[in-house]
Amino acid sequence: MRRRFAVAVATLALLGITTEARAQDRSNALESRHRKFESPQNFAFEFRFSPYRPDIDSDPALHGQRPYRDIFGSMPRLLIAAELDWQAVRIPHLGTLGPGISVGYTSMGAPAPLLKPGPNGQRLSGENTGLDLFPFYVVAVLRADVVTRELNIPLVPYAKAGLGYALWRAYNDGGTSSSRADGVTGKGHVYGTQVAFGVALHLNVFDAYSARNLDNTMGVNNTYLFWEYYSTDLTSFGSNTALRVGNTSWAAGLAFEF
Amino acid sequence: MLHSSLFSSRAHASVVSLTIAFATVFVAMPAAAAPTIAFATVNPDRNSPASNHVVRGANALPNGISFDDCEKDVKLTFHMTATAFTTGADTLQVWAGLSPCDTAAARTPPNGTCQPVSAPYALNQSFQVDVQARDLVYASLTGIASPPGQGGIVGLTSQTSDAVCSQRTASAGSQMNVVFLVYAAGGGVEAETSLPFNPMGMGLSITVDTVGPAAPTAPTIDIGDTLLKLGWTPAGDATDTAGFTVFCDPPPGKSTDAALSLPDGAGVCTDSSTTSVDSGAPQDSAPQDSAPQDSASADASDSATPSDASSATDSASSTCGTTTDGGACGSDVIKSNVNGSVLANIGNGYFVCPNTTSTSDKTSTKATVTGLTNDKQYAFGVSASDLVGNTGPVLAFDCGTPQAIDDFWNRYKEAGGGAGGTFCALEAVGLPVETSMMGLAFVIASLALARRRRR
Repeated sequence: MRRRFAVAVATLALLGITTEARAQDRSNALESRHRKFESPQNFAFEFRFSPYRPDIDSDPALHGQRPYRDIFGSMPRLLIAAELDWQAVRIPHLGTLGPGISVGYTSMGAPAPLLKPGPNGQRLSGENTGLDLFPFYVVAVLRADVVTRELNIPLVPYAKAGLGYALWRAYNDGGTSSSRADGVTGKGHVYGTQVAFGVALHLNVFDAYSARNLDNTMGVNNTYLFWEYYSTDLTSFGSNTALRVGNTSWAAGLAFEF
Repeated sequence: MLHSSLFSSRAHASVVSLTIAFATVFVAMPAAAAPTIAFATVNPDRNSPASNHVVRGANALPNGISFDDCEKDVKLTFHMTATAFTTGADTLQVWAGLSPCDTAAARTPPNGTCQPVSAPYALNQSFQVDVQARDLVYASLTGIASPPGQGGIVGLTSQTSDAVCSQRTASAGSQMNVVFLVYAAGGGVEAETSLPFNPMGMGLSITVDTVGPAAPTAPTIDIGDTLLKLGWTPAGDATDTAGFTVFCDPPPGKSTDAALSLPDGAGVCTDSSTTSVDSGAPQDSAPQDSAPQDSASADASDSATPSDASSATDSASSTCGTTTDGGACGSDVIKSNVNGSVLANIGNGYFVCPNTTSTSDKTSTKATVTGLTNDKQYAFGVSASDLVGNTGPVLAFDCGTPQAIDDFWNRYKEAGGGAGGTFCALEAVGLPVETSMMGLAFVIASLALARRRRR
């Protein structure tokens, strides 16, 4: 009796090992086929979202006055941006390197204050005052996907560095603002530097089947959820005629390699 | 005062929808071919003996009868043609009533209520039929009986007094019928059942509406730089509201003019109690206010004119910026039209605000009046208008005084900021910045699509 039981257990164990081995074989075969038929990967695209508060009040020409905070407050606004990278070079055992370009948009608005108190003592008018910003940057992007590819850790650290540029426009209900004092219109551009460091979570590992389908149907090789810390120093390299609309903050979003 | 006489005692007007059903009824019809009548033009001509008749808006119903049409006794002239008639024998008369008028009973007292609304007309190959607006409105009144005459041709007793225009007490509309009847020679009692009824096969709808929409509520006014923003809540029947009219006193770019035949002080924002108005403010030197009559009338000191004691009282007791005086900061012409049921006209449209954002939508709840002078007081009122051109009673606003604003850019420049004035590449001429951004996004999307197709 004891012998029969031992034989049955051994048989089941053998069957289990065999089944697991067969499943692993199928998985490996599928993975192998996927690797074999994986679509080319040359680009990355990011949808970016970031809290944005321009550094306008840091301008030394303002002598400590804070016109931005006085009008718009201290609450950051939402920056929506997109970035396209060309992964021009693959560095063995490190990752990809290539140029990237980004364009974004953010806007801030608030009720315009009256120049003098109104009939009932009110200080705000019925008009709005606002500032539109269009930040751009061109950067070199290094994505160290070796961590994922060779260490099987689903994280990709990356770094970006380059030049930033922004178009801006100050407006009120009458259109683009102009200065009462000298008639200068409230629009212009500014440039500077852009640096960022971040880490991306490789989402393919959570649903490999869907990831393969996405590659087969759309050509998207990898999908990431990323978080980065960045600094946009837009002062036109210290010019005293620059509206300092740069920002140091964090950004998060989705990235796709294709 | 002229404006008082125009707008008082109009609380009992009403809305009546008239549907004209065309029928040809023959009395003592001969055995020969029956006459037929037809309209030569789709809509009747509208003629008013009054030179100050309100011009109907573009969105007004072409055949509508408004309170002002009734006041001015507008004449509707129908151009008609007739065939197979007996010259000098067949006669046409138009009847109208709350119920169908193509039966003799409907045109015979005591149960019949239809009324003749035209004189008898002899048929001709081409002829005209005149119908007066007041007669149509009278025929819409309840509690009236048809004139004696057994449903036959009767003499028309035209309504010569404009009192009929405000006799209806019900604000709800009434369905009414208008028929064109042809009587054979001899007229007399109509043998209703034996007469052929000949529908014209043409439809023509006339809406008679002698009540304007209710005044909006909840006035708000926000200050801007040479502009004021007005807000309100519509209160009238949305199905009978065509839009809103903003009145201002004084109208920007105009001055209150004696040529309007308005009494001294009328139509002038006379409130002098707003302490925020700088006595040395530019209103006295602004170009648009440089007309002598304006400087004489818009100043607070002129409010207490001997000929307008009520205006003086209002202005002396009112407080601009509060609702204690009913708003409108003492403007007689606006305040006197707050009550009532319909507003025919304000100074022939003189006080309609120019430079106002579109209010032609019946769901409008706000308007921005531009072109104003900073630090100058203005009175405002808003009325709803309906589909036939009636303007309802006025919602009076508190006095508004546009003022200079201090936006971000000016704060920045005054703090010492040195930026600005450079070309903004994405702001193409005539295009907002967002348009350029959409264009850029389109280019990126196109590149992505092209790459996918290559795969």
